[in-house]
Amino acid sequence: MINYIFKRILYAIPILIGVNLLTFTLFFVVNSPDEVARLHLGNKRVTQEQIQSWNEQRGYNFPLFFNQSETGLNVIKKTIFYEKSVKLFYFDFGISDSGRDIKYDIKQRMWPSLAIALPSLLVGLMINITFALFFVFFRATKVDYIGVIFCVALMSISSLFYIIGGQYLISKLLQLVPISGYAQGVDAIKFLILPVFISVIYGIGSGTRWYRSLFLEEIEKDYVKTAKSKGLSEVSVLFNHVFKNALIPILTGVVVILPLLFLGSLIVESFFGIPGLGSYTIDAIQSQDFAIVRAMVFLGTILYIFGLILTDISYTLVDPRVRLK
Amino acid sequence: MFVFLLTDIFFYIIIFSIGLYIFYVRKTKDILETWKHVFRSRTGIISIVVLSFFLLIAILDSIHIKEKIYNEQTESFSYESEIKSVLDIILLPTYKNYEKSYSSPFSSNLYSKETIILENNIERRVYPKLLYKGNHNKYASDNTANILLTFIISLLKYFFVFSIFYLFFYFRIIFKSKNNIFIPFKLNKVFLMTLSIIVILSIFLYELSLQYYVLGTDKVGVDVLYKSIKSIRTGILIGTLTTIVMLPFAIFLGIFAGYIGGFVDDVIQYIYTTLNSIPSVLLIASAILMLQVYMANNPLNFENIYERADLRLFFLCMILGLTSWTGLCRLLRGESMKLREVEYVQASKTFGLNRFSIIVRHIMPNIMHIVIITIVLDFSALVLAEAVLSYVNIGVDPTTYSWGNMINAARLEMSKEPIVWWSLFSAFTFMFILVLFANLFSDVVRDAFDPRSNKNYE
Amino acid sequence: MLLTQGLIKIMSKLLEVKNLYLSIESENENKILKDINFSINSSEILSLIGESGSGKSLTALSIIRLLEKNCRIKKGKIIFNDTDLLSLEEQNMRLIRKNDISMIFQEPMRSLNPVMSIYDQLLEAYEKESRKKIKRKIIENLISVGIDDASRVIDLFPHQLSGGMKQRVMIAMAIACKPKLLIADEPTTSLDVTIQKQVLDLLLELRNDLNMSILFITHDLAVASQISDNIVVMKEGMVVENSESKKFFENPKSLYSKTLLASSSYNRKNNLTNSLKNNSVLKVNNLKVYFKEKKSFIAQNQDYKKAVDDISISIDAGATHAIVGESGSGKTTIAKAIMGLTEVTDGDIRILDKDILKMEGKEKLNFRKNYQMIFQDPFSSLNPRMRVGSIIKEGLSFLKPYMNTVETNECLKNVIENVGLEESSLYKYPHQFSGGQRQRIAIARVLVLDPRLLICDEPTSSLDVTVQKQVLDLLTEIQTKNQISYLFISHDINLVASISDTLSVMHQGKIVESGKTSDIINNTSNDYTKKLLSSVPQIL
Repeated sequence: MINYIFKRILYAIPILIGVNLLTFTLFFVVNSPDEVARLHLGNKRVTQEQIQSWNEQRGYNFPLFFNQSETGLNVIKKTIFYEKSVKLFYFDFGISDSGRDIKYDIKQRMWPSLAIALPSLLVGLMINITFALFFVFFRATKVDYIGVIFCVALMSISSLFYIIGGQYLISKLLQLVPISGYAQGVDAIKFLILPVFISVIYGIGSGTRWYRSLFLEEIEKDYVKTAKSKGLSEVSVLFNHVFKNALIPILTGVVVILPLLFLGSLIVESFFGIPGLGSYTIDAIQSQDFAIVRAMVFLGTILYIFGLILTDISYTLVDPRVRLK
Repeated sequence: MFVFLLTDIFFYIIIFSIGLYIFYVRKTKDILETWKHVFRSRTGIISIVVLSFFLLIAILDSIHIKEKIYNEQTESFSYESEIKSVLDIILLPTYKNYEKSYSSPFSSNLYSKETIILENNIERRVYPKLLYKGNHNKYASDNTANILLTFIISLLKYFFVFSIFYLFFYFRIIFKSKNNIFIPFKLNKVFLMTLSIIVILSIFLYELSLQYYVLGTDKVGVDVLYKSIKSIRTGILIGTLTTIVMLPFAIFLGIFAGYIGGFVDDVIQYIYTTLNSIPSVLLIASAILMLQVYMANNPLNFENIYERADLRLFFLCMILGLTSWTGLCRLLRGESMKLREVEYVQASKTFGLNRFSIIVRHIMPNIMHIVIITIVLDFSALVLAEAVLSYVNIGVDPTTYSWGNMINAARLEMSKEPIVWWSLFSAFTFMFILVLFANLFSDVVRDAFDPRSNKNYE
Repeated sequence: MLLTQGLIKIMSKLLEVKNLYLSIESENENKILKDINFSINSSEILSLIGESGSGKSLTALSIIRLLEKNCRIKKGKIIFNDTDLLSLEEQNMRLIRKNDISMIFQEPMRSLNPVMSIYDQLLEAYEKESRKKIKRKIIENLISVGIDDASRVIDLFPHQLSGGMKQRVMIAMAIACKPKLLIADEPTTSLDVTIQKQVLDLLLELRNDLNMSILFITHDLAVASQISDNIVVMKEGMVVENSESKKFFENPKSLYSKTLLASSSYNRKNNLTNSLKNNSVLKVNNLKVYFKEKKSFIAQNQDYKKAVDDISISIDAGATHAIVGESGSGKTTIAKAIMGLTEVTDGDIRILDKDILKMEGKEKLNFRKNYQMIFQDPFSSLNPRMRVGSIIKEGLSFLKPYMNTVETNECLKNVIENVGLEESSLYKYPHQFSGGQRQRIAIARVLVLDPRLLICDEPTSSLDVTVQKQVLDLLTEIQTKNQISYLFISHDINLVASISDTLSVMHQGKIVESGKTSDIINNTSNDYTKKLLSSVPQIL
């Protein structure tokens, strides 16, 4: 097991290097730092000095790969590649283009993100599975048919609609909860209810349909017939056999996104003014703060790979057929 | 003069490929059988008709022309800088004039009060009358009665057109054989019903648009209905062009990885795992941000804003495509690996077929169902994604008509008092209809093509 | 005297199926079962025999009421212990399943829940009781079905057991409630012959111990003759014969039963003329095929799985050599090695005195037409997306590229007629044909190349017996006409005995015995061969 995890971590390194090279190429090779600086300073009548000082403030004033003017290790160290890309491996995210410490920001902002994402995931999971089991119990009847059509309709509505509609209906018309904002501690709950509620509603369509198809796939298998021939009732067949088997893909599908929950949801957070990583990313994209975007790409990748390893481990826990090698 | 924008050309290629595929299906009996499954289901027919209608609008909106104008000063002909599509020309009577600002659906006045000065120098705050529509009822002065009458007239027009078509078929069949006189009526009721409803609605909306702003006007007084219709092309283009861009990558890399295996497999797997590891929004955002910087710093020689916006749309599709091929590639790799061991592939090996022939003759035809399912499944997701991307400012060019841009603009309108809801409403409604029928269609297609689908319960 | 006998029979009737009609809901609603009538007495074994699609499984599922939702019973009664099962509420039917009727299925691998331990799965079959008591009962039960280390097995999961063990667990689960009736749907079909014999013996033993009746469903007449008291033969949803087992095998009444019986013991019509012998077509010397085992992350040594270990075979022109062995014995690997579908570790393969392992490129491509192969499963050996004509033409266009279109078409016409299909078949797709017809197409595909050596990898094992016979007849006919040598691979020693001239018995990658077929069948000295021979069910 430990052997396996070690191997997986080793396997993750080339992927991280790949991602790193890709982002480096995107952010520094496609456009030179000077061009980025020019964009930030406004295109017209920018002097070379202004660009120079903008770059210097943010540490973009080095050559890309080799610094000829330095000696020793500094030939490699005093370069953009080392400063901006290699340092990410030490989780040194540097400062944002607007001068803030990215690492500090991330630490501050990941908890509000989690406070929305985790409840949304868990509540959504429970509701979707319940609905799916309900439809499967009534499979091949009108209830199931109408349920599926309803799910497809829910799926076809843009996520933006759920957010705008929910905000308008619940906050503005009914005035049940504040429309947006955030507070520390227990007070946060009143700001969290609506975004969580909306995230859950948004997920019902696709989630229920997906779980329903998983259950149906299991229910066709031969062991279900065996279970029924033992005289088990439909409900206990559904829970003890079908559910247990379908839980494997469901659980592993959830585990893989668990670490990514820290990143939060881009749109929900930005609509509700939650100071999480999602809105952080959106703000960065909208203000073209590339240092933050780079950091988030790297962080997202690490969390994703971490999720994959967790998935493999969770497989061994829930599926007796799987042994790690 | 015809103008071919970059996306137009690609869109023609897509239409051409669809045509080619239909031709191929008609000749290949077993795939035809599978498609007949789709056509036999009621949902299938309805969604195909609706989607075809959207597609038709997109096609009409993709044939662009520049109009010739006569310049009196130089006494010569020159071309307008504005590019129009065939759709614009058809709809011209409904949208050519702009109001001043917001007006709500079917209203005859602007939405906000303005100060006007009367003859005797008295200032007054009033809702000004709309200049071009809303006060020009054709059939009755009362709005409700007028709308009703318009509807009846649309119905009559529809029946007129329908009977001409009917007679055409009727005579054609009479001359061919005497037995099948009533074929047009036998021609699937559901199909005819759906088509009729769509045609009646289109005529009705057109008639109404000549008299009212059916979905109101936006901030600068443009007809919202017109904007929503123009957005169809953007939505469909993103849904299809993206897939077309990624298909070659996904298919070839997937098959190579799965069938050849070994080192090739390792490399391809590495590439798609790496791309897959980056959360897709961030990858798309990075790529588009860099594109924006590039386009800002390298002002390419665009003749006009249309081409610039068009190029941005094209690049958006490219970037979405390059980030979304990994899923399909992984599916195809798995399937090719399975097929490699199947006995008919083994049998072909004993005939000395080389890899290339086996891939073309045996692997490709047997993975196509996965490709088809993916294309239709991705379509609706991409249409929805466009709206979100535009909201984050990394979508299409702000000057391009798109539902995403409409929603983005409407965010401010929602906080107005009283709120301006119709822009948002129309964008969502149009998007909902397109995505809903695309989803229903993909359901039916998946049932027909996927050997594993739960046919017993659908 | 006669009267009392009759009375006893009526009184002890356990299950009676009366005028059962069943149909499947679809566009053209055909009746799948038509007027099924039979009855089982207590502690009697009744075999339901029929080919695929005859409706035997549907009959069984109607009794225990586990039909798919789209199946509808149109008419009839199923009377079990004086109650009509079809009119029971689902709740009461569940009680019947729990206490009186059990069922075991064909695929033990798929019939057990993969994520539940054997203990948990068995537990469901028992009434609620104290933990200790139940555990003791379960262990006793497992021991009674021949699982000796039961206390270890109960903690295992299905994937950790072999096929035979799984079927034993299934049986244990079925007899846990001491049922009055056990329905066994092809319980031995997916098992090797030696295991099959053990399972059959076990069922007979349990019948005596528990006094239960068994409804045994099979396609294999020999198996049926071993186990049953009564036989019911079904064809296309109808019962064509219903008689005592002994009488049935001595003197079948219906025409269909006669064909079935005739087909199940195959005899080659003609024997080889000796004149053609001593002219070797295939010579395999010391063939070794090793597969690399997956290396663990830190292991130093590469482990090998010896699929084929040091094997030599030789076939004369026009002769048939058979390789017989159980699953996993490596017999298919030999075929693949000869055809170049797998890497050969060591040894040489000579066809028509040419070493094919040393051949390369064009030379090999030209030579390939001399040796061809027929695969086991006619459903996966034909590309579903190609027309039959293109499938057959494929080999020609690659191996005989010099043929022009007219010649090719002529060739296709001849060969399709030679295998007994109509010319119009060339324009159809594989799915429009039945299993037997597909195997004919597969034969046509290789026959068109006019090979000297044909490797037949279990060519009939997925076909119904009557179709099996037709395909075998076709193969012998082709052999005499074209003087082709066959390498015939099979698990069925009965079949092999009647079709081959020489025979090799394989076990775990090695040939344990080789020689003239008649010598081996009649007086073998090898233990494994003896075991194989004694396990094969014979019609009594």
